[in-house]
Order: sequence, then C-alpha cells, then structure tokens
Amino acid sequence: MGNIIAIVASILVGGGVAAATVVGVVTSSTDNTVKNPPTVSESTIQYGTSD
Amino acid sequence: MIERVVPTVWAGVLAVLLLGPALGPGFVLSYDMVWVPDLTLTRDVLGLGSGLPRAVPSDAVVAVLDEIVPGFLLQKLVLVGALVGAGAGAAELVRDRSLAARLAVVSLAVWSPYAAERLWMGHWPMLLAYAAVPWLVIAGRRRAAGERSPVWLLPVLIAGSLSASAGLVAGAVLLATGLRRGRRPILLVVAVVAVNAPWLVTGLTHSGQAAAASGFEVFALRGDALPAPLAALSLAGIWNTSVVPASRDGWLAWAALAFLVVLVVAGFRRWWRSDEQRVSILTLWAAGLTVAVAGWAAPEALDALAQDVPGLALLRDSSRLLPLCLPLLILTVAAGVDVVGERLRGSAPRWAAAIVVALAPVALLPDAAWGLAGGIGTADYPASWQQARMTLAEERAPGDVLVLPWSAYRAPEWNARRPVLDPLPRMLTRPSVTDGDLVVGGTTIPGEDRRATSAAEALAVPDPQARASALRRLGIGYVITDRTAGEAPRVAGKAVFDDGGLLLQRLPEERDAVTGHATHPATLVATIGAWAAYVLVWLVATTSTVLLLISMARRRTARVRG
Repeated sequence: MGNIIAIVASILVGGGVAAATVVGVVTSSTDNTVKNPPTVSESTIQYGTSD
Repeated sequence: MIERVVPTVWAGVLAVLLLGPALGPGFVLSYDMVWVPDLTLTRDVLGLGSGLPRAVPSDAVVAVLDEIVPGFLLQKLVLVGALVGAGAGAAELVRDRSLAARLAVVSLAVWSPYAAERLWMGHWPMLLAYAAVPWLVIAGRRRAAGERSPVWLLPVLIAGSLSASAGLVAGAVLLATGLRRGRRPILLVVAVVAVNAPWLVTGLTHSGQAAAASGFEVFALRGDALPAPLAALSLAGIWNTSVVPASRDGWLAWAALAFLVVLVVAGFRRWWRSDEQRVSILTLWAAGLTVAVAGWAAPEALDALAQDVPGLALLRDSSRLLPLCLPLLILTVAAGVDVVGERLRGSAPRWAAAIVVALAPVALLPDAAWGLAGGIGTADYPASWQQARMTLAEERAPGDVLVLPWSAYRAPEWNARRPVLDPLPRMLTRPSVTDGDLVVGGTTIPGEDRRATSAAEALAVPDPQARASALRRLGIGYVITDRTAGEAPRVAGKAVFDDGGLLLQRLPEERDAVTGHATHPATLVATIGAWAAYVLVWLVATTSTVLLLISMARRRTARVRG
C-alpha cells in the first residue's frame, strides 16, 4: 500500500513539475513582454534602466 | 562514455531551448553584444585607440577568427559553446555523483539568472568565463594533486579570459585551486599573466581614463523580487533592470532561492567532508559575493576610491564576478541531490526527485526560454552598411572616422528596435571616435575618452564648416552619419557615400590637420610585448589541441583494429 502511494505521489510530483515547466516555458515565450524603445527618432538610446 | 554523454546532451537541449530564435540566420545584437560580418584588426581593436580598451582581447580574437569562420557562425558557436560548456563542465566537476545530481547541476549552470541576464546584456566574454569556471577547477585540482595539467587547460583559460573581468574570474579560479605548496607555481602564473597581458597592459596605458571611470552606484548589484544580497546568492542581480526576466520580479525568484538553499544546506556537510579544496572553493564563493555586495553597500566610497586606485573601476559592475560563486553551488547542490535521493526509498520517488531537480531551474525561470522570451533575436545588417564600409576602405585620405549621431547606443528598426551598442564603428575599416557617455535611467555617466570629449566640443560649434575644421585638427578625416538613428549635427564635407540612410563624408583638407591618434612609443612597445606574449600562448594552446586530436584519433584507430 505504501509503495503504491509513493509511486502515485512520485508521478504526481514529477509529472506536475514537468507539466509546470512546459506550460511556463511556452507561456513565457508566446506572451512576449519585452518592451523595446517605442521610437528611434530620439538619438539617445538608454544603455539600461536601474529603477 | 555514456556518463558524460547524457549530461552534455541535456546541456545541449537546454542551450537550444534558451537561445531559440538567436540560433537563426543573422547576428544577435543586444546591448554590448556587437558582432559584424568581418571585424577589421584596427588600432582600436588592439587597444591602441584613444578610448578605454573595453573589448581587449575579445575583439582582436574575433577579428582573426572571423577570417576562418564567418562572423555570424562564430557568434553562434560561442553562444552555444558557452552554455553547453558550462553545463558539461558542471557535470564533469561532480563526476563521482549520481546521474540525477549531475543533471541537476547542468540545469543549475545553464539555466541560471546569471547566464540569462549576461546573455541578454551581451556580455559574451563573461559567459565564456562562466563556462570555463568548472573546467578550471577540474584542471586546478589535477595540478594540485600532482597530476599533469590537462591539454585543454590553455584553450579553456584563453576562452575564459577574453575581457578584463573574465580574465579576473578565470585567473582567480585557476590560481585558487591550482597553486599548492610544493608545486612550482611559475608555469601557472605565467600562463595566467600571458592570457591577460593585452588588457592588463592596454588598461595601464589608459590608466588616466580608467581613473575617470565612475558609476559604481548605477552599475551596482541590484535586487529583483529579492533584496540585492539574496539575489546575488542565486547568481542574479544585474544592474540593468531591462535585461532581467519578468519572472525574477515575482514569487518565482523566492522559490528559486529556497530550492537552491535547501539543496546547498542538504549537501554542504557531505561536500565539506569529502573535498580537500573546500577552503579554496569557499574563499572563491566569498570573494564573488563580497565584490557583488560591496558595490551595492558602498558605491559612493568605491567611486571615490576608484579615483586613486587604478583598475578598481573594473569592479563597478559588481555582480559581473559572481561566477566565482559557481563552484561552491555546483559541488554542494550535487551533494545535496545525492543526500536527498538516498533518503527516498524505491525507484519511483527517486526518479520523481531526479525530474524535479533537473527541471526546477527551468520551471523557476521559465521566461529565459526561447531567446529570453523575445529579448534576443537575430538581425541582418542593411546592404548599405557593407557598401559604406567598402567605400571607406577604398578612400585614401588620412584620418579616423567620427560616428554620428553623437550617442553610444542605437535601437535600429532592422534589429526589432532592440538596444545595441552602435555597430557602425566595428563595421568600418578605420579607427573611430564615438560618444562614450552612457545613459542609464536618465543619469548620464560621462565617457572616459578625452578625444571624444574634444570631438563633442567640436560638434558644439554652431557652423558646419567650423565643426569640420575642428574635427580635422583632432585627426578626424571622415564623418559617417546614420540618419535613421536620429538627429545629428551637420558637418561640412564631400559626400563619398549617401544612400539616404547612411552618409559618409570626407572632411576638407586643413593646413594644421593631424592624421589620426598618436601613440607614445613606450606605449607601443609595451602593447606589442603584451600581444606577443598572448600570441605565444595561443600557439602553445593550438599545438596542444592539435596533438590532443591526433592522439584521440590514433587511440580510436587502435581500438577499432584491436
């Protein structure tokens, strides 16, 4: 009985992390939140932000 | 053999998943990562220009190698090689651990905030140094144990020392693990000094400018969802918040830290008991963390100190040296995975644990995937850039090139408006003068190049003819203006190339004009000496690599015959 519970729990934990990884990776890649400068007419492009 | 293949293949899978679109045709141009089809070996590239030699020796190495391998392909080899090398090195460092532990450290090394953030920031020499760290620990340990140094030591040391900060990391790791009482240190020290000689010497010859470098506060370690010191513990905390994956601003950053701490704590005791070099490894970790946190804790004091201490400005991007912490994390996490695995009974829980520890770094930083969720990608240079380069190459008038608009960074339309250090200077066949000022969050950090300051003053003159005359007196013979990059001051001169986007002008002759940037003879001699030492190390490294390949081929042939 204990073995079965361990196996089921293992499948749930391992499978859960694997599924979460795939979902996280796919969602992040398709939902592009990167914001590039909206205009290039301004000649001073920031090297970065520190806020 | 299979023991090495599985972790290396896993590192390859993660590298491809992380780089994604960056592996497509074209160049990856992101912040400080500027690669061009054919980099010319100019005075600037060798560190003899007027500006601070920030890309020495990396640019010179690229300028030579892109004669053999096309620039875009070389860049991809570097990016993939750095990530796969980091993962494979981490697995090799803990070779005596279980497969689950080795896969876990592969994920930890490849899919780390440091690798993701520095890749986005374009610090590819630091990525190579990061990849070299575990290999240098292995090499250092062998040497300390009295064994022969592996033949790959020099190539790895060279690859890991392509910039000043990278050289500091690689040198520190090798010396900390390789120097032991009773072992003659001279060869190791000579090798470390020789691979770092170009930036050491050219840095010293520009020490006046280096002392003017400031900005410790702007470039200091910065927290994300975690306070800065805790971010540093998980190899995160880059100063530029624009290159931090969004997931680092949420609870996933806390979860990643908790995951790391649990495994480090679980494995620390076992590692401490089994590792003869524990003090060196712990010292490296403490040094990396101390430098990172110091920049955050006392930026003003460091700014003031940097005016008097030559070379201190190297540490202003304080989290750059965090790869020094990598060996301890790899060794303790691997031990921790084994400790946890031994407490589990049955193969199913162990398999589940192996999957969890191998995938957790990816699950906790999901938006590092596929080119940092669009943060990096590839681009092709407009055809006109190549034409302008060829036109300039055929020009015979003396003088260097001034690049306009007068700002260091661009966000070109053809690069999906991704910010990048202006690639034009590297595209050209002559030394150039550009604006060195950096704008970060509205704060301007003045550049150190005095010639650029003089050029800015010349551009501030109201009349285009007077600007041209002032520039000629600074040794500027040509001005190239990228009209697509914004407003630029007009300069009088004959247009030798103009396609509407790029304008290349030859400045009128001046009686008191100078022909370029003059280098002091002593500086020239010292720089030639440094490059000679560097080339010598390259020759030794190349010879040893060829010999290794021949011996491997012979062994394989003998095995097949036997």
